[in-house]
Amino acid sequence: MASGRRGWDSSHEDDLPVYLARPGTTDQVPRQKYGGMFCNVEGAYESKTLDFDALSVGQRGAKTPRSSQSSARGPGPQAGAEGDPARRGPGLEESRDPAPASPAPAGVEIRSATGKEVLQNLGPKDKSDRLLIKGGRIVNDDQSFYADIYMEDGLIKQIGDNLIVPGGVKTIEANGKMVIPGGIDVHTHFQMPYKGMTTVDDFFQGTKAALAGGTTMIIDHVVPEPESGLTEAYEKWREWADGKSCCDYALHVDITHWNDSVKQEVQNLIKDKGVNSFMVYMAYKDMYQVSNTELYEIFSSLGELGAIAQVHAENGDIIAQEQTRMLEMGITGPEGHVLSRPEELEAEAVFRAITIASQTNCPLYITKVMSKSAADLISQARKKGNVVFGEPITASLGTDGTHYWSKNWAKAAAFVTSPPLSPDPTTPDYINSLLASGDLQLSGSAHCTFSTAQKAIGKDNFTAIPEGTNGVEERMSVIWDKAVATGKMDENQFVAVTSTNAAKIFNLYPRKGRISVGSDSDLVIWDPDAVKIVSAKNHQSVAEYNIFEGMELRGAPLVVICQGKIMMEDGNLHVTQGAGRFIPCSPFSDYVYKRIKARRKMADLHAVPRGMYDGPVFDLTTTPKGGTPAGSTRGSPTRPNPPVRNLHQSGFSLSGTQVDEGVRSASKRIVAPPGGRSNITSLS
Amino acid sequence: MHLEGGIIKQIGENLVVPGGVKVIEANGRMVIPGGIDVNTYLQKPSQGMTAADDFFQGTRAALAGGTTMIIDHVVPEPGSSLLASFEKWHEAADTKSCCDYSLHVDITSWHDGIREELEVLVQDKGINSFQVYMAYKDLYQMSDSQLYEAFTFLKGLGAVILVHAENGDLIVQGQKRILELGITGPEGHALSRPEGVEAEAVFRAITIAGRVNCPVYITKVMSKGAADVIALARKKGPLVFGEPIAASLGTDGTSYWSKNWAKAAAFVTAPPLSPDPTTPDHLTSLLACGDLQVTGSGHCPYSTAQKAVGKDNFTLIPEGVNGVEERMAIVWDKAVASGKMDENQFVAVTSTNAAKIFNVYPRKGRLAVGSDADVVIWDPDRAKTITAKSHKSAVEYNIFEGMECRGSPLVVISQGKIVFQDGSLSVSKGLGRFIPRKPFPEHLYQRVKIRSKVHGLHGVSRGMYDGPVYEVPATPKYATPAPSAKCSPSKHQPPPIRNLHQSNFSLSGAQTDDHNPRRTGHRIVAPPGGRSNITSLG
Repeated sequence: MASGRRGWDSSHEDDLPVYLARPGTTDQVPRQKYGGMFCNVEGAYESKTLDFDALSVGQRGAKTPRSSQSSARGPGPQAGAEGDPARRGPGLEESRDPAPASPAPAGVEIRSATGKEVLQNLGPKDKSDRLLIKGGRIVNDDQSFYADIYMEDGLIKQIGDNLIVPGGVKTIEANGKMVIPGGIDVHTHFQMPYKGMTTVDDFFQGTKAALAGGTTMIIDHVVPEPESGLTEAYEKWREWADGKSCCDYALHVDITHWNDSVKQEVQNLIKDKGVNSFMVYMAYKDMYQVSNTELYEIFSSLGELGAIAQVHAENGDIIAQEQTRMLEMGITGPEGHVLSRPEELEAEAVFRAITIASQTNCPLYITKVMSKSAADLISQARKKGNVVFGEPITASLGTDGTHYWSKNWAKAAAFVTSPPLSPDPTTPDYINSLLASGDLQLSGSAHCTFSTAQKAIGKDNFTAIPEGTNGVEERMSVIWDKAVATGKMDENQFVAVTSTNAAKIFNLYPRKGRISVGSDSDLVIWDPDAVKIVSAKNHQSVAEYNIFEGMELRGAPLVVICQGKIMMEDGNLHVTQGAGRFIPCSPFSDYVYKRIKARRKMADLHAVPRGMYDGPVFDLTTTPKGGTPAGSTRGSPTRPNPPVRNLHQSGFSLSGTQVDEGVRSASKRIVAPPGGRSNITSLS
Repeated sequence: MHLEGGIIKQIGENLVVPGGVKVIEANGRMVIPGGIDVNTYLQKPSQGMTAADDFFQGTRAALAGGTTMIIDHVVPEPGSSLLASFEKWHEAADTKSCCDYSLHVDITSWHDGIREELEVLVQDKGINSFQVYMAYKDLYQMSDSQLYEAFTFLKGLGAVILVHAENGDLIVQGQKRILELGITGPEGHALSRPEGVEAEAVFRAITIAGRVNCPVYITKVMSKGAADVIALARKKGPLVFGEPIAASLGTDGTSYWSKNWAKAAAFVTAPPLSPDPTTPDHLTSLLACGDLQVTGSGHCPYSTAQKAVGKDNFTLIPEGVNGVEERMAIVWDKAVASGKMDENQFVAVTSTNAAKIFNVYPRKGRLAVGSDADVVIWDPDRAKTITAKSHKSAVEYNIFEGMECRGSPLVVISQGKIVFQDGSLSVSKGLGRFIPRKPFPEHLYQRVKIRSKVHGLHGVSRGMYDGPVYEVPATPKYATPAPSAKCSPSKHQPPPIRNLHQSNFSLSGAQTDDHNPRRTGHRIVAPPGGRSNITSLG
């Protein structure tokens, strides 16, 4: 399979030279001398528009001599330290070098600028500001093609062949490996305080793990205490993340209670603070849970403000009841967690959330899709036209809930998260299929790790076990292994579900989630053949347990570039604490709200213009026939106040209709006045 | 067939019968068990009004339509005694009813005292079915927790749980919105209660019932969405029964937009009729294939004057439509005459299934020796046009006005007496008996019992965890005004007891490590299962 993807690399030594094989670019751009290190390269942006005919994968299947040449020189990955001066620089020389070479197992080679350029670059940090990836196969969500990428100042400046780049450029020879947009993990809980504890991975550890797994941006959840303000919590999270994060990040804010001042805060967060997504909880009774009425109000106002309503979907009321029942039955171990939160309760809440969202015409986003039934409901709702998105997480894509019954308490407890992993072992496969087919759209990790000692707080009572699993590091590899390597998903869809869709939904596209000129230079050179065994021994997280322990995953990042800097190559991380920037997300994301806006226009409701009803009206002032003791307390089913009494009408004049009641009065049929009779009022 | 003393004595050919027997020549016509209408509200109070048909009018209409037994809903005022309300209904029905009847009791509020009342009703009063409401916020509505408790308790009693499934919270919001838009007519009723709201509640009710492992019975299935949810759920295993009513089988909700206010108002019922005109067809198909099981009428008509209370505000229109008389004919016309259903299934959905579910089988719902002599001779060919002019109900409007129905009863025999023949009724007020029903209907509870046995839950027996336990610091690391208010997400429980034998010092090590980078050497491995302390966890 892998050889098929890189077929050009191994089997076409005798193909035409590249300039004959590619009609679009046969006339080479005449080379120009460039002015200097910091000058714009004249014409660098001209003729660089992608020539799609030329770049389509099939035609470009002819191998580029330069990459074969470079692979000949350096089989296997080489750390970037030893650069070859002869090969360095804005080289088109390489492509002119026709020397065919034997296909080598493709690795990635990084050559840094040396000599003069190094002197000109003041610090070692600046060295990687200019990067050139050569011979990569760029994989976006819509297409794949071969091109070189030139990055500067954290942005992608040029894409194309035969780029003209200034000197002092660090060059990465991708050797035909996939270059994909860096992953976006839409769901993390780094450094989250919880009941007097804090998750063990803080923003530094967490983002480090993210980068190690090929994820270059995370979106973390701000979880305010129910009593405290949203803005206050947001500022706290910003402070933590700004100081520690190694990669770019954005924030979701969780709405843990609802009132008018929260509404105001939400508005401010959207307007001024760059937050466009808010999560509400349907579970955690008496803590975070909001009622149906509040959900309706929250969804309505989020819909108006152009934000995305995220939902933790589980029926908290029933969970509370079930937990009591389990504890009464003497089930106190982690298996009680899954027994008290069966997947029906997740599905029920998903169904309810979808119903409420469709009533309020608000886009809905279900976090942590953990079970088949929840996933099914989302895909059904999408088929019916609802704007709803589903986010499975690494854990639900990679493993299942059978481990809750493990004899090893620490292991069982490590899997505790909610909604829980489904005990049905076919779930991961199923969810991967839905992810591949587009019924689920993006993936998160819900990385929220607690140490075993922290989990052990609930050793005698599963309801006290802090909830959360790891996954930020494993996410991309798990999806590659479960979906792409099994043939469910192609590489483009892989990019879509790990990065692009997330960027679109949260309005970061095309800055993130795409490799194109002007986008942030967050990208990953992906090795589809690398096989890695996940283990707590060598993972980046601080947690002692890895729920994917022992899993053999195909596909791993070779080089991770974030903000234009090489963060990881060949298994070595070079991260800088606090380098991550906060990326503000603006409301009314096109991907989500175009449809919502159109529907809003369509959905105008109109009353039926009809004549006033002027027939007899039953008089409520007479004593009710029912003879109930407390007639006066009875109101309309939906409104507490009884209708206003018409003082102009005496009880006497209308009681006539009552006398009739026992006997049929067919002849006295009261026909409402036909529409035209009188009194057409301004009802409509 | 020989009937005597209100009971079927013999069935067969060339029966030997005593003299003085009235003989009816059926001439090969179908003889079917009398219909059972499982959902009527013949005395429902609403805002100080009472439904226009009382037990006399209502049962008369029932008999005229071939229905020989009704099960009426007792609707107590919230907070008032169920028993008192039951007695009131019992008395009213005893004096007025013309056919046998039984009663459902609606649980309009859930409180502790109600449990004893329910027990009395089930054990001494012959009531085995109770309805709960998911709609009518602040009046009848129950929360999910209450539903769970109610279901658990009713399951213990062996009762049938009926659910009025609509999401009351959303309805209130919807009504507010629609009124703000200036829509005050009956169309607002349908707009504020879209069918998603019904389907959602059905789904929730089924989920809760599935957790409790009890049968659940959805009254008034009015929309495709709700019916589909039921059909799907049945395929997955939960014990769910669905009851479409005459209105949802025979007509649709387009009339809410009628220019004639009185007509539009006559259709107001909850859940509302679906504005989708293909709904009746869909529901009949599901009824024919067994995904829906019984039919009721939801008969609860109000006169136009009564409906007019809500002439300026649709939320005040009393809810209820007619249908007790038309039910059998509509099912015949829509399902049997159109070839969807055979005559046996017709008997099942109009009578037998209801008798089984509510535990009056085989006394009712079957023609067998020993069964009650409630028999209908059915003429499949006679077409009748429904109109308010000739119907038996007291209301001025018939929602099926002008509909031509094939199939109607020729002769109706209730308790062994001919009460309807050739279009003329001969009923006597107060003749109807109360039919007590026992709890734990086999049709429902056999499976429930087995499932309870099979699905016993067991804990995992494992060694005690004896690794380090994180000590929650006395002062939380982050400043919240009221740390004491923080508790477990799901339970008001004191935090796990702190082990006083261990000093803070010895355990604080775990904390200082916290922010350190990875320390793989420190992996805490829980003791393998066999180490020690196998306790009685399982």
